[in-house]
Amino acid sequence: MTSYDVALSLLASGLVLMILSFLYRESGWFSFAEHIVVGGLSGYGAAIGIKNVYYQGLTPLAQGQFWYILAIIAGLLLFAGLFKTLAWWVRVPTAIMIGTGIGLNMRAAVETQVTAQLIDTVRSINTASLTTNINNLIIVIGVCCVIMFFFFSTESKGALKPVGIVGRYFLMISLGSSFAYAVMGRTSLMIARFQDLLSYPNYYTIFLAVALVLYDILKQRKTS
Amino acid sequence: MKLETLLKIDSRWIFLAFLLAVAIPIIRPIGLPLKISENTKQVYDAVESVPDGGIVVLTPDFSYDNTGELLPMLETFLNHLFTKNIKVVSVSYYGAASPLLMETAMKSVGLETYGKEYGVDFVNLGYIAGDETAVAAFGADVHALVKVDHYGTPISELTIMENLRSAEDIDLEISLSAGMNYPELYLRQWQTTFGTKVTGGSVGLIYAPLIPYISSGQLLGYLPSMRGAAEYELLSRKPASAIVGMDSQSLVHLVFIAAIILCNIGVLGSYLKPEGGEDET
Repeated sequence: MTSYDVALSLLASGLVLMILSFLYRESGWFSFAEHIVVGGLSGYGAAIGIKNVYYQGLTPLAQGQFWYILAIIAGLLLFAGLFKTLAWWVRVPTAIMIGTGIGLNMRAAVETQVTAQLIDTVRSINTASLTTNINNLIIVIGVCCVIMFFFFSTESKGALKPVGIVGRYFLMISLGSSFAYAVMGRTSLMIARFQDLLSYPNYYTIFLAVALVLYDILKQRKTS
Repeated sequence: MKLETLLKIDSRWIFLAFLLAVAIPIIRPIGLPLKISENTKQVYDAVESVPDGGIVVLTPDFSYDNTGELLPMLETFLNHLFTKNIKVVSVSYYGAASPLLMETAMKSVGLETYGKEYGVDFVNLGYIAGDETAVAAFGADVHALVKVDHYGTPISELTIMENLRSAEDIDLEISLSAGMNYPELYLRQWQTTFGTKVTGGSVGLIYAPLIPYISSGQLLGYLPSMRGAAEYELLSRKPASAIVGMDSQSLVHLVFIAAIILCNIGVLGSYLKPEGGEDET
């Protein structure tokens, strides 16, 4: 590990601790790190964007593919919104993007997200495995009940009411599952940061952070 | 003790409990058992089924904020792919950091470790703007859309790109995604249109809504967050950071369950408290 790597590593872990300091209380350190993140990512995003325009737009144009000028003009028109008199022209590239996007999406969306899913609900409950049969039955009942829960043309009463209630419970279980996955994901982010923080030479920054928090606690006790 | 006082605990104590649950197993690993799920085996088998000399397109559609979940997954996929005679093409449709993250992963994995060569066995095409339009265009005619790789080298000079003309030439698409729309996008534009096989992994937040696609067989398995990466590391016999993190993951989940139970007891206590009276429990 070169001294350059060590310095970069310490800088990165220092910034992580500055962000984490928010858990203790909001401070100037947090704002400082937050601004660096926003500035750094915006700058990098802009650089990638410029690179894309150069390679995907200007280079083919310079090689004689003149029709690329249309795409470049459409791209430039997106900035027309910055000028009051020209703002209307933003609608042209926006319409192109929306039209193309919806067209391409619809081309396969029905088959991918409707037909294939619908076919998957046609399941046998007479397989050799009992657990598979139960699972298949739960899927079919769940899908039907949840769809009925979102059926608004008839008042939910009589036989429809319990179906809607079962649908609501299926939805709650589904939301609970999503939330649990979200917790697992967010925990993974924290673990990865701590794996970094607890490795050499980053753990030195933790001692500094702990010392700063203790100093702050003592200072607050004195003033109170 | 009044039960409702559980609701008044300073949240910083909970943060401290989480911090300890994360840090202690990293400093002193416990080695809790990890079971490999059918889903992970399905992903592994999908990679194993790629024919000799086949082409895999790897799409890391995530940014720095998701490295904790998806960088170990990216590295474990690269490690597995490079042990085989497979051509790996990396391209991202998610802005900013993805090409740079691929560089980070490649530094960690190392092409030379596996005797592979850039431009022959692996290429980083970088980021292509346009989402759905770009993915559709890539699937229809790769060479019409992409002119250079991430470093500005014309793709006509890269051997690996000779046999990749459209999505029909892709033997497997591995999507590493931080957004729900990306796996769906590959399913729409490549799987449904060209019959390309799709697998990969995602952050935990978007995983549950993707399960129906696994169930229907449209996705050939899909790894959830760090847990998926850890199982894959175990299956490919290349233990790395994800496995190390799983002890912390389990402990944090226990702390989380304890916090939920305590909060609910607190809420129950506030319901049981008689109005205006002192309820000493």
